[in-house]
Amino acid sequence: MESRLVRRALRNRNVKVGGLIVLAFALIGILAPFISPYDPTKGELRDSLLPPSPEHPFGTDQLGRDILSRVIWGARTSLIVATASVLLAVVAGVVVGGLSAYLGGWVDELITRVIDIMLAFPDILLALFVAAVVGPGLENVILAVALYNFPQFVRIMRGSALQVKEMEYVEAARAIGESSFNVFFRYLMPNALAPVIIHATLRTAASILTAAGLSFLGLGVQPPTPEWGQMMSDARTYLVTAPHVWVFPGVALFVTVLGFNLFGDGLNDVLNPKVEV
Amino acid sequence: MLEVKGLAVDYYTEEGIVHALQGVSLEVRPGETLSLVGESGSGKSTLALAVLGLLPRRARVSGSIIFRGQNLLSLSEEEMRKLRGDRITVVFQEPLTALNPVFTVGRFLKDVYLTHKGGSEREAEERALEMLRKVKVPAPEKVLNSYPHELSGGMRQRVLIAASLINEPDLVIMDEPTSALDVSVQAQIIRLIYELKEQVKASFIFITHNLGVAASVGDRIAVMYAGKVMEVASKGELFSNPLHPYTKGLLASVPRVSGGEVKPIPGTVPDLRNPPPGCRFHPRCPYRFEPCDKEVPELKEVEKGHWVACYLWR
Repeated sequence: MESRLVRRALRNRNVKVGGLIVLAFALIGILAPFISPYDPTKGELRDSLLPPSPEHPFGTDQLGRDILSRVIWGARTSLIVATASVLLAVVAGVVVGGLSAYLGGWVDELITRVIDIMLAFPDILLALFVAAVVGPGLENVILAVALYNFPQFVRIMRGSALQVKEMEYVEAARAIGESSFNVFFRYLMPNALAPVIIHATLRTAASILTAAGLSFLGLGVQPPTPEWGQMMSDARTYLVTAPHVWVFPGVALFVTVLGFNLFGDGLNDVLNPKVEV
Repeated sequence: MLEVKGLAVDYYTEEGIVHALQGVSLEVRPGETLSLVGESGSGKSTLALAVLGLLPRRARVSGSIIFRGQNLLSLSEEEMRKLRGDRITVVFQEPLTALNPVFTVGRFLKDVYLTHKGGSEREAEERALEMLRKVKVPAPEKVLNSYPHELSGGMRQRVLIAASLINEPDLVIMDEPTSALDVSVQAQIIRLIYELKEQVKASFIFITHNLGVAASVGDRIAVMYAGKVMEVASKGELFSNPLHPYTKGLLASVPRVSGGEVKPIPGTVPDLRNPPPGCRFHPRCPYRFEPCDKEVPELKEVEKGHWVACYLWR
């Protein structure tokens, strides 16, 4: 069953292309210290704003730092922010959404209303609000982006868990004397996870964008940590005179987000039996 | 063993109160099999859920369910949990959906055992294998490591029956265990149940809408209609000497190979939000007379071991 799923997934073009991009992105992020040609935070001021050359394939920025190295290290920053924030949101969302569906009654009512309110804010506004309150910095960006992802996972998990809750094996679980704790964590949760996992890959793309957006606005990761959004923000002054400063991080961001979206869409096609038929 | 007295269950729904069970009294003796027969909506499954303590929260229950000397309705949720799957077990109708798709059959059976009996994985595994052999699963070692989707419906129902017997319960409730299966598989499962109930000490409540199945498995048969028990008798007595007009109608509406006219009971099952006053069967009853639409007939023993709730037999 599992291997058949994997084979079917690998036949899907979106999964293949997206998966390759995601894999490349992850490898670059993980291997950044070994593959980046220069120190991303140190630059020679005399070498500022050099166009691409064999020595600096992506050129240098206004402080003379190697842009290729900064793009590579930027992948690492995005990888950390995106995975940490999505993971945090998934764990919290699965527990809260699952409990909401499982317990029902006023607990469900209350959670649903709070989530409705959170979803009423435009996504980026929620993240901006948190970032503005807790201040900039890597951990705070993760927190802000996680909070921005959280309500969606609650809602998806709740819907999925409501469906699973009506399955006969959940009642059967109670009929064999399983405790509520076991019914929830061993019967309800694992069976309700599939749509959450698909959504997580799609949210990873959105999270990378949001984190870059926050950094672009100066509320995200702080210099000298290399980050794509912040690199583009710094490049605004040289928009025309030195376009390579913003083009390379921009393209990196674009390709990464595209990769995650393709991968998520493809997974959705493979894992969602209703679409398949 | 089990004594149900004056059990009433009302479901509070948005469309009104559904009087699913009313004044139900029944007895299950040690080692016997009681078949519960009735149409859909007659309250058979509600009765099963009430005994298991698994009624939805919107249900209101009154009366008493005495199991081995204690009233189940007064037990705490935790005390009920300990009984469920251990002393009282159940086999549901839908074998295709009653198994958790993420666990192997072995994991499931071992969990049922370990939850109540404790002990080691190895003991549980041995017990699980023993049970799979008992329900005549071919290649039990292989089935133990299979996921539910790899097994056929009949095979899954065997697994569920194995689970219901693994802890040597006192009472096994089988809620239409064969209704979702193909006819040929149905016959196999009924035969299996028939053999198993001779081997184990447990009492069985066998719920079905099929009179033939009820007769082949049960020692005694209770006929239910619209949330009430209409007639209880040994199976021989019930088939040779049915007393309640509903039972008679039910027997006349079963097609027979030997021919003869099939006579369906006129009218339809009443809406339990607004059941008819008096005897719930009176609007469809060809023999109704004076008291039937005013007072509720109680279950009375009219011959030895033969109980009827009908004013014709006073």
